[in-house]
Amino acid sequence: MQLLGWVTAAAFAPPKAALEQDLVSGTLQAALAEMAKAHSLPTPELPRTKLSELQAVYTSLFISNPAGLPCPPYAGMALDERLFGEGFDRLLELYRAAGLEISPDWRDLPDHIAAVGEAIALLETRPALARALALDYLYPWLKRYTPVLLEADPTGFYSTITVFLSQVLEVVKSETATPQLS
Amino acid sequence: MKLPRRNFLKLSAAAVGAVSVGGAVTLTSRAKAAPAWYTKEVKQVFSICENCFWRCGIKASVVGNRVYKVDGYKENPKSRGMLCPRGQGAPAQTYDPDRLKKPLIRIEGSQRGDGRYREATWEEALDYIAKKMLDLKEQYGPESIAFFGHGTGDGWFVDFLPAAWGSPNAAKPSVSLCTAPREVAAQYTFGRAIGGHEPIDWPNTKYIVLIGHHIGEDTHNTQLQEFSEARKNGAKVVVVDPRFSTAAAKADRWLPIKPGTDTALLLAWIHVLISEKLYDQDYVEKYTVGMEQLVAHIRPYTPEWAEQQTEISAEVIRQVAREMARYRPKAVVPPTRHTVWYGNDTQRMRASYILNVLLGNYGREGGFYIAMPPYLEKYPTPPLPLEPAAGGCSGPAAADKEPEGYKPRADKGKFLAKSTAIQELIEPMISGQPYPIKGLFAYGINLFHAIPNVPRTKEALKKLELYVAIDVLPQEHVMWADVILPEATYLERYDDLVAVSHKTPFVQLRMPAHEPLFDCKPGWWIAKELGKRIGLEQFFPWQNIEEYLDTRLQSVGLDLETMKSMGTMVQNGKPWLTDWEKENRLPFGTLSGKIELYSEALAKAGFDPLPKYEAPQPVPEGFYRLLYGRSPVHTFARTQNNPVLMEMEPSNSVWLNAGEAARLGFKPGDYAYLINQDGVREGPVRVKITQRIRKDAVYITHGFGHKAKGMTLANGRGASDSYLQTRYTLDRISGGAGLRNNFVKLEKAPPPKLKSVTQLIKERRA
Repeated sequence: MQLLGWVTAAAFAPPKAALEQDLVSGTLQAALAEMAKAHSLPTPELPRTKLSELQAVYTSLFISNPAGLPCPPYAGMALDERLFGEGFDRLLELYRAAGLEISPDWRDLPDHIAAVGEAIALLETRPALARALALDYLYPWLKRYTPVLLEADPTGFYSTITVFLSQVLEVVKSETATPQLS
Repeated sequence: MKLPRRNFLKLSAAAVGAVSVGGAVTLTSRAKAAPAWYTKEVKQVFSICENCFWRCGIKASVVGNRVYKVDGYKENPKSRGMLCPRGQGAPAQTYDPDRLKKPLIRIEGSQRGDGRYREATWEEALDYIAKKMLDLKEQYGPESIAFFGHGTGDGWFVDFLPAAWGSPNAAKPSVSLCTAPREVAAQYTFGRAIGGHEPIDWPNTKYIVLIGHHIGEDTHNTQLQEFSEARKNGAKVVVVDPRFSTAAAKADRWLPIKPGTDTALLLAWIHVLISEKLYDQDYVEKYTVGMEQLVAHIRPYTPEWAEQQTEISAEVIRQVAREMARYRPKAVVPPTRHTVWYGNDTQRMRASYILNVLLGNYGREGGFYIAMPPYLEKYPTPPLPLEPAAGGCSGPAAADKEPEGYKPRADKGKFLAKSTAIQELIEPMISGQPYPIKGLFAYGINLFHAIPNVPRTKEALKKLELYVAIDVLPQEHVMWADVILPEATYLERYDDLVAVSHKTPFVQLRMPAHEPLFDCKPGWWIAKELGKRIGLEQFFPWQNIEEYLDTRLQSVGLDLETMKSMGTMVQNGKPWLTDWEKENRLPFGTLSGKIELYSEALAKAGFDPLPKYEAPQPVPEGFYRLLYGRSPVHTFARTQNNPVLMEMEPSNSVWLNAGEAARLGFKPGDYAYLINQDGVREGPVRVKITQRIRKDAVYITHGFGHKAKGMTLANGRGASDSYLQTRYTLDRISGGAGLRNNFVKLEKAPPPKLKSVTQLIKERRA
């Protein structure tokens, strides 16, 4: 689960030099291979995309788009269909109780998918909690927005990641009796 | 396998071990109802509403990073403890998922309007802008960058920054697309501004004549409260409007005037007051100059003549004039805010003021009070190279002379007034005449929903070498910019102190209810950081906004901490002529020191010293004159993505006279396209079939017809009057753009295939 969290955080944070390094070094691809092996899934092949292209696509998919933003990257949008809904409040409560604080450098909302990914990773010593976070916050977002990304992502980078993460979480869901939030 | 962590979150060591999976504290919380916000610790924060330009003082109820409720407070003269639906619904904008969230830079090689952007840091975005600005200054001079803005924070970008930078090309739509004629006319008549808070002593008046006034529809809070008070106190109301407006529904008389003939009516009323000797002769003698010329000038403007122009009977014209006279000086013809109608608007407003003066009501109870600005010092900075040129709701800029080495504003010479006219600064971007404008800042203004002739504006944007948009929402024009800077909303920022001229002058404070969400920054911070990068650091000597505000407040014996607990500081005014006469002086800033019925200054400048009537442009066969107005729950084109307000009013409709509807075959529930004289089409928009409008005009509320797909609720709903205003008539005195010389015909249209706003709110995911 920790690796799934890091992959989510790495892939959905604003694309900068760190992501470029993960891609050039093959670290991200290797992480996907390890996860695939662990869950008996085929390894997806990440498309080779220049950082500048990823930045443009990331902006148009997740930040601002004159034709309408296809994928608001917030867990609450999938849970509540709005920002700052009850799901958002529950997530904050979960972070608080788990001892997670938002870094002052993070200039976005705490339910951004990249932040949720990092939270999953940081809860390494509480696998059940991390699993619950993944299934109750990350998975609904993946389920809602993967079809959108399959249509709207011209690079295939983001859709490849979300398809794969969805497959992993479906396996996790079927294998594990996770604590349910409702 | 480990990936390097991104550090968005951190683990607090103290809390490690506090969580147990399945524990009641967290994982079962979904089953529980969340505690209501008001059961938590609620912080009260004073601020100023930004959902219209009445700018009510508000108190926000805040829990953490959320504002749950806003209310007026009784100590504030703008709200007096009450707030309208727009104000109540305004906080939803802060939590709008469509908000601009990060600084963006247009992808190199993409075209303006393509909307291809990449995220940038603030440092990168500001460095990019600064480099371009300095390059443009080097090549074309500082005047090659124009600054447009609208809203409480616009002072940083339209007054201060351009004046420090050295560009006279700064403009606000609130001048030449709104108040310019009434303000310029007031200066030439009274030597005083009308100002953003119209100085009418509503509660004490006994007779009110509203000409094309949007009261009740623009919902300017205390203005409406006081109008209601006047009604309750027995004031009679006459409404002059081609449309049976909300105010008309409360009136004793509705005069359905032929559009564009208001000056004829005003001149006829003046004629009656003078010819029947009903005017206040003592007042006129004591406080005015030019009565002799007025008497001679007004002779031809009889009620019978006016009947031919206005289609209001001479008998009714006489009756209303006599009624006004009966109640004087407690009879008043209040100025509207939006006065750019037909192009001869300064003269219409002069006629209106002259009528008021004959009623003896300026500076007297039940008429106009004399508004004074509150005393408040500026923050001490080195002298700015230029005087701010944009003016504002309070009238034209003070100076129109350029210091040596600086060029005059690009629209100088096109009209008489001293302020810029925003629509006249577009052409130089295209033609390069009288000199090139190559850069543009757009702060909070909607370029396509404010400035007439949208195709021309788009052409101008394509020609620019730098276009920066500072905004909260991805409005259509914003997504044309080279750099988009996301501003913190009104609930997330300090702004400069708002000083309001009033019967009791006052200063109000806006302070942030919580930190800005996302990567948004307040306007003052953006201006200061940009200033540092373009060599203007000396003009931003303050350490931070708190120090800036505190220093200003010290000048009136306050400090910021005290002001935070008050919200508003009220001072004493001098509202009546008698207050001034006690000091052996008069308040009139004209050359003569009196009210100028006959304007020598206008005569010297080559304009009519007394108002004359000019017939409006005729309506072409098969067309209707396009009239427009305001909605009580929306403001301009700013609020149509607000879910609370859109649930109340999700679209506009076109008012069409019932007889005309029958002739054209429209039935209730039908939709139409509006097609203007230049072939521009808007809609579909629902047809409101009504007896409440004349046969020669149609009416829509302003602000709908958005084309920005990034605004999921606003996009595609209703019709835009601005897009249909491809022509305007320049008022050669004030620089105002007369917008009511546009005409439309209606064509049947299928109903728009739109999801309901309620459904969209639920589906705001794609």
